[in-house]
Amino acid sequence: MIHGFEPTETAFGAASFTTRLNGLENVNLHNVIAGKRARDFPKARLVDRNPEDDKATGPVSFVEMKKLDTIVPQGRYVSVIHLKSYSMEMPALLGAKRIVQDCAPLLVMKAPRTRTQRFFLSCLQAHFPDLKYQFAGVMDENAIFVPLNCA
Amino acid sequence: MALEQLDSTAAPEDTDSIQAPDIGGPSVIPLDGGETFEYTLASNSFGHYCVPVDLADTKEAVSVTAAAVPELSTVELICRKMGKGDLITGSTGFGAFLPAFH
Repeated sequence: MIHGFEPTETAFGAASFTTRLNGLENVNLHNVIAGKRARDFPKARLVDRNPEDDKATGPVSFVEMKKLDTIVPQGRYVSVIHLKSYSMEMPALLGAKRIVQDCAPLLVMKAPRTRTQRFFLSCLQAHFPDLKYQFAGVMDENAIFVPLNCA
Repeated sequence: MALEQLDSTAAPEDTDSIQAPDIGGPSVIPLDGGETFEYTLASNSFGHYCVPVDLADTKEAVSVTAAAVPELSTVELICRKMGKGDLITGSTGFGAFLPAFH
């Protein structure tokens, strides 16, 4: 089973169509952004915009933010988490504490810069100390983190 | 296939009168809010993709439009490590990785 999320409406519509084009039956797509807690998230933060443009567009619009722990049904075994999400990778992971603690998944997180990779590793070691996540290299600008202690 | 069928599908000699379909031009998908977006279709060895015109210059879109597989090394690693477990992936964008992950 694949649990996917995409906050922007156009990309979500396209991903849904891509799923249909390929007859993918085991894909659950959610039109949300994954975060640390459930709340409304300003759409303006999903793209690089000139703040002056935002003033001209009128009222601020929002997209729903959800925890991955609520998106993925309890009892599912998650072996890999792959995150490249508008610089929201770590908040998304902190909303998946149950999944990470229970499943100790391989983590593939967009982090092209060394500074970001170090930040992710320090967060993982602080929030999931028992799993002893290790930095295992970079692939296509994605940092790979492997748990030494599997659940 | 019968010979008659082959004959019937053969290209006609006079092609001037035939209206060629628009191949590769953008089509339109309606969204829930009443808005629409234009897209084109692309394919690579894993499947087919709906590529929004607005996202055509993203790395993933450029890749699948050229029939290539974006981030192939990462895709192969994830597929190998998934085993029989679930995968969480996001943001999915237009779904450039979904057919490969399936």
